[in-house]
Amino acid sequence: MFTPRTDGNFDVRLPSATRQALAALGEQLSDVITSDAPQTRRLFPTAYANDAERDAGYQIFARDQLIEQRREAIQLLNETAQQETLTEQELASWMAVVNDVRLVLGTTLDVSEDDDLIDPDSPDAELYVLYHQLGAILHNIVVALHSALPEPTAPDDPLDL
Amino acid sequence: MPAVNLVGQSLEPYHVSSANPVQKLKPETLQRPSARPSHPDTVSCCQNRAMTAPLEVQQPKIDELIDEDSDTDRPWIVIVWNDPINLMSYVAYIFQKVFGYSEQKANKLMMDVHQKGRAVVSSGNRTEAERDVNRLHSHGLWATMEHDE
Repeated sequence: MFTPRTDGNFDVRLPSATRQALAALGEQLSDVITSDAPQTRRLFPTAYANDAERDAGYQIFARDQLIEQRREAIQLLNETAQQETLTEQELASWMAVVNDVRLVLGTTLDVSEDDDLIDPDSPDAELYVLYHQLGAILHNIVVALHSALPEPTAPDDPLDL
Repeated sequence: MPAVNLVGQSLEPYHVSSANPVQKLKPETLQRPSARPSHPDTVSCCQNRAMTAPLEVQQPKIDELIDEDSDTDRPWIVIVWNDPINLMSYVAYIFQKVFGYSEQKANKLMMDVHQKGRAVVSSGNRTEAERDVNRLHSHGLWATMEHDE
């Protein structure tokens, strides 16, 4: 689906309908991130696990910042959805949107680690299929971007490994 | 035309399978609240600390004064928690991208998250830890920070 090029960009091979669907999901994400819908809670995690007061201070700046970052990624995906070639930054925006949509879907579906089996009679079956399709797309983006990572900058601690 | 629905609007076209026609989802599908608890806010260590602290009201310990005045000197740790949604390959990639870790170290931390439920991915003063938590939140990871005990 996503192939690194020698010039640092990435070739994208996806059907037009899938591209349209990703852009449309991005627009729906754009609507849902500014709501207080419970399925968005994974998009705005707690920072201070043991300190509600400090966490409130963190959320004051982080929530707006995270919303703005997501809007920028959604817009970039929307603008580039039909392109055959993407820059690294554009592909990173695709990755961010796909991951965020999965976070919303996974929260909605209340997925667990072992949810690979889909009950075709479940009213959620269709969303599960979409959730797993987005997972496949996301994994392919990660593999492509992974190949473009710079050399590690943080030394390994021998005691950690 | 197959359509799916994330927030109550129709979304089309989305080809799931030409042999498996897809019906439009009900708008309330994404409005259904989840029963799964989301945050480790209920960690019990604070309750213990709160109950023992009043015994030392008259002679606060030095480190408690430091904690009040300049807790940036006390190390904080950044923890990433396991969640069933984020892909393992994605989590490891983000560790490499955000922290500049080697692939080996990123994979080790990712497997710790996956198998042990959490991993300490970085540490530093409060400002550094909050910056790291924020970068992880920007990538959709479930990260929190707390004092290193």
